[in-house]
Amino acid sequence: MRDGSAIVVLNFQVNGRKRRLKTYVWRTLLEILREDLHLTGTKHGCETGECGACTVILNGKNVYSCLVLAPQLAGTKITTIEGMPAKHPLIEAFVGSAAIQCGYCTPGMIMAAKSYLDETDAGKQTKAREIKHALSGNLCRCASYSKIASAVQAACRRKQKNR
Amino acid sequence: MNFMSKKSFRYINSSAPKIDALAKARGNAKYTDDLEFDRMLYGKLLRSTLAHGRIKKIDVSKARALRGVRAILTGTDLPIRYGILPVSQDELALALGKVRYIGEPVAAVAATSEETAFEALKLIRVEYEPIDPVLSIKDALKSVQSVHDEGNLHKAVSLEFGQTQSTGADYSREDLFYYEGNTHLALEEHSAVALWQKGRLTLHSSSQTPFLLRKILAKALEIPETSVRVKVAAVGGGFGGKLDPFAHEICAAKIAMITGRPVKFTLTREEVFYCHRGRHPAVMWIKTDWKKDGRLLDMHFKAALDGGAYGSFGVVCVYYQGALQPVTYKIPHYRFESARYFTNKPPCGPKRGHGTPQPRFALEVHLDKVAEELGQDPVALRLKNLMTPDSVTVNQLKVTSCGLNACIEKVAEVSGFRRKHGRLPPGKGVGFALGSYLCGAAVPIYWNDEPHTTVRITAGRKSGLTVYCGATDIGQGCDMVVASVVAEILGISIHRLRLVMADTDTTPPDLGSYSSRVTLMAGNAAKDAAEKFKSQVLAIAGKKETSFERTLQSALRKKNRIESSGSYKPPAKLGRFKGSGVGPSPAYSFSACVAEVTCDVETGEVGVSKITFAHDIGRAINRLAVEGQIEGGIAMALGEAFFEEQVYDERGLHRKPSILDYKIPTMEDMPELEIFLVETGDPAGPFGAKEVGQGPLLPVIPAIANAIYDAVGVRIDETPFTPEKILLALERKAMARAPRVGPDKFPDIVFPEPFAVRPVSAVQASC
Amino acid sequence: MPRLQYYRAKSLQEAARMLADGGCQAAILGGGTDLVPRMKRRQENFKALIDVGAIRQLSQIRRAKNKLYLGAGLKLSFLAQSSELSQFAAFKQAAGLVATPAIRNQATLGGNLCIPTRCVYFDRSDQWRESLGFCLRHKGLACRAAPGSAVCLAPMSSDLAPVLVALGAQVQLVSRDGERAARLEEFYKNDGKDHLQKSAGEILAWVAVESGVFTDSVYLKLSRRHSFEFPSLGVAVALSRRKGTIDAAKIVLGSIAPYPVVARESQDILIGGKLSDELIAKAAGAAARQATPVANADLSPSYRRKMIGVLLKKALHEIRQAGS
Repeated sequence: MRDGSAIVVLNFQVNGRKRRLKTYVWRTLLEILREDLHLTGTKHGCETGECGACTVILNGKNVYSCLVLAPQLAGTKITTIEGMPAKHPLIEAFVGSAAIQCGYCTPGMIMAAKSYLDETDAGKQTKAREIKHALSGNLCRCASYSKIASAVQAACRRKQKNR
Repeated sequence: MNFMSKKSFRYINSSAPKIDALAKARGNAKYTDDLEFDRMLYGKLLRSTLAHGRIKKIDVSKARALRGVRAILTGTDLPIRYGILPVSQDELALALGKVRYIGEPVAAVAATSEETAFEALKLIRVEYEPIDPVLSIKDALKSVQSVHDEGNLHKAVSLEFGQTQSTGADYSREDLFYYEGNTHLALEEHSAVALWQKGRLTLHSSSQTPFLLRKILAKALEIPETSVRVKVAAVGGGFGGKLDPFAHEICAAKIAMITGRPVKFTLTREEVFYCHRGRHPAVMWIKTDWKKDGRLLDMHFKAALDGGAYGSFGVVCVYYQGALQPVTYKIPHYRFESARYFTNKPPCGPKRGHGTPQPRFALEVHLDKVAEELGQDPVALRLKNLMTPDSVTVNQLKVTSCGLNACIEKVAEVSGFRRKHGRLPPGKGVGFALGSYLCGAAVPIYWNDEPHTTVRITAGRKSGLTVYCGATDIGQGCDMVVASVVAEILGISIHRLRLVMADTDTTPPDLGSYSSRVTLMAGNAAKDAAEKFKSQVLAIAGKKETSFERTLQSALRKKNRIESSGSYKPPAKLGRFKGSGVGPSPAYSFSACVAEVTCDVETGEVGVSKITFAHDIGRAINRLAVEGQIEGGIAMALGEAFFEEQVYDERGLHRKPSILDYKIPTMEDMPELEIFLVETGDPAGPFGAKEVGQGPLLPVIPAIANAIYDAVGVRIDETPFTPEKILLALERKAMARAPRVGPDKFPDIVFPEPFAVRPVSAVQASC
Repeated sequence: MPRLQYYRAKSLQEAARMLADGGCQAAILGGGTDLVPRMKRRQENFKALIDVGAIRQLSQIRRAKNKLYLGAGLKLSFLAQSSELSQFAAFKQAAGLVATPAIRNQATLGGNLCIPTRCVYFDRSDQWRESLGFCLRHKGLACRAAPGSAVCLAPMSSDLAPVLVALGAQVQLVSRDGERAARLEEFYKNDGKDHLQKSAGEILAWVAVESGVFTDSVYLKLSRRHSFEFPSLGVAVALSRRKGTIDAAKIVLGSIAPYPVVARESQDILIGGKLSDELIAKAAGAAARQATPVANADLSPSYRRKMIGVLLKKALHEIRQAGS
């Protein structure tokens, strides 16, 4: 077959910073983040899209980085947990609401929550049901679920107030 | 200062954010697989594809020749047996001569990339001679094949306590139950990185017990313990699954020693299912005798455990099957028998609750059935036989604080249990159950006279204030407990403290995160250290300044470096009989739970609408963290009640070794929770604190089973409560047969003659 | 992931050419949410992936007269919220029930319709399957779920397929040699190993649904948890009712066979009648007869079979309730 390649040269953005990377086409975004860019905040729990630990934001949408192949990153904007400022309402809410126990699901949860927060019209009253649905793809075995939902709720309220 | 009576604290009983929370929230906390070292090799394990067989030949030649492969190990390279318990030193890092379960490590490869290591595994040829596998207790009893040379019976115990069997029982009942095996499923897969430098090994591992691991590594690698350092990075959940020593840890260490390069082994999710060390499948039989007014006279309990291929913590689990029933109820005469069998499956071991969730399920459902037959309200029946504070149980365990009454009243009142039980519309029901758990095993795994935890506090003029503690934070928040205790006693901001945790070279010993010991034991050691430190600082300074901070600065001007150590050792156990080492604890936690369910009789689906829960925590060191642990226990209980099954096919192959198929609750599967903390203030605990890591799981499963019965009149006497089982029970009900799904028979085990334990004297009990 | 060659197609024609050149060693990469795990587990042996994500045509929605044309590259999360699909309630519903929000953000319409069948004995790592001794579908001789079977019975796992079949959808297939339209109902066959009625070189490019045919539609999914799940059973119902009388009915069962099973007997029972308790019960009773699941999915075959009638009854009640 013509035109195929085993190697790709990628130009993409991670946490607002332009990146250029030459890598094998079969590598996943999760591997690239952790191994090539040394951004180990994004975690692996299964590598087959069954747990949500590897959630990042790609062009504004939350995705499982273990399922995204390198060439699919061309021209994209990626946000990982490392791209979140320390004073982000979600970070402060997670810390303050005791939404973190072992912390392993936390980066993925915060990314899923950020994606929800960014897409949600802050003028609406946020229903707990919506938050749970938005985070239904992120498992937590420590089951900080209700505190995570409270944290996201608190961040939504803060976003509403700041408008 | 009497901390028990002090009303307000800065940190104790607060909802202050955990000190490790921000790092975790920002993705800065380093877990073992996040660690990178120069020239690091990547290790992978080849695992047995046969449940039972002799290894005829292993050919690693093609794998060794693959470019990038730097080391290959087989069983002959690591021939020293080890195990987590002194009495169960039956494991090898890599199988030698025989494989005993599908997934058992057989060879280890390390290469310059993970991809190469995976490729190398495929090039290793193993020839097995199959042996018929032993896949159930029934198979084990038939003894046609033996998992181990000594036979399939691992351990059997038979104990009897209390007055000789009393007569005059008005009513008697016996029941059978089955609890399915299940596993921890911590979100972080097991990982270890080994370095060998200047004749010393450093192992970074996601482990719950670095000090025990150090001892075991030294044994398996045949090097002195002084040459071994174990450091625990952040741990992404353990729940008991990271207590045992594992093949990947020992192989990483060995390969580091051989190659001189750092070696990382991180397991895949499927491999974690094969590591297992989770909940034992248990068949249980219980018989009780009663007076018709609801007073319990006699209890006889039997358990048969399917242990998997190796010992792990199994012997301890055997005893736990019978240890805690008498902690919740006053049982005049109590007898229990318990046996564990080897089978050709991944080994079972400690999972949250450690051998007590199964008997708790059996006991609390049995009591529900008894209550119905005696015409008593299930809560009233409990109240008639309840443990009281400052008592000695029939099996010689000393109960100090006991908040059962307060827990019961709280959940009964808030949930409206008495109003609802038996009175809700068909398809809706409420169920009630209690639980008890220990706050740390009073007897260490390796018996010695040492403290169970020592904490060191140092201060230097330029180096600041540092707390050294060997305890491992696996998410339960022990870092925050230790920091809160020290900060509270010293009267300083928690952010002034630097914490160095879980490093066998630099932190004093701690036995590990198991049996819910850390808050009580490390907390007490931290308290002791802080009190000593404070006294020492004052003595050196000569006079007390306006704040401890100033007093400390003044003292440091006189002496460059100030250091104090504090430690904790539990009180001696009362019992002196064989087996009395399992059960004793400085204190016990208690919980009460009401579950409200809706059951669809067409689909068999059960929806839990609400869990009302009260936990006697003694005192919450950190309120939000304690609530988080309770919610965690409840969620795990829901998983075990409805979904979780570590089950195998006729080959011994795990049926569901993936997160998708195994199934744990998602956020959308959680019911409404109402959680109450009862604070009895136990004198044994730091500031009165008791445990919360394991107790909350216990009553939830039987409360749900009892609620299902209240809703639709069927008994599911085995876990998980699947829709298929509920429909089957409903079908049986419709045909006027026993409306039940559960075991019909207890295995034909001949237990040893019961050892009748003589009661402790009143003098002994009051010490 | 195994090693592979990557191809980026700039147009449908180019993708079709690449696919033809690659033969059975090549596969189309849409979102990759199912393909990537399958490749990681070595269930597939593709040496070449053809990424169609950049083909704009595949992400378009077009209206022509009564028909809505949906590009196969449309993401499920978009479909679950699209106002364009308001009249196809069950379609929106089903799209929103697939897996999780993150997967729906990557997964595509075409990908979900073509998703391979699933089986508890096959969707496992290669080491696990080696311990099993493999199976009829791949490297082995016997079906592990149904030992006597000569053919693989793995059920389809798409939530969208039964719904779109019920709604009478058509698909457009593009290959190097041309294009053809097909009814989605005829797009599947009774072979778990190879359940799509298309040649290896054909790409599903469009889905067309006609509006105004059905007045009511609903999709019910059977699974243990509320998210992350593949369906253990899917029941899709589309009815056309005029003044309460049913003049058209489509009942399609998913995840019970390699192809979506049309419950013709139940459909016939409903036509001409009104949604009374008796008629609903009769239709539900007939539904279970139309499929024989085997032990290759979560939840037992007898339970899944029983639930066909139960879910159909619930679906019809839901339609009746919504209409009142």
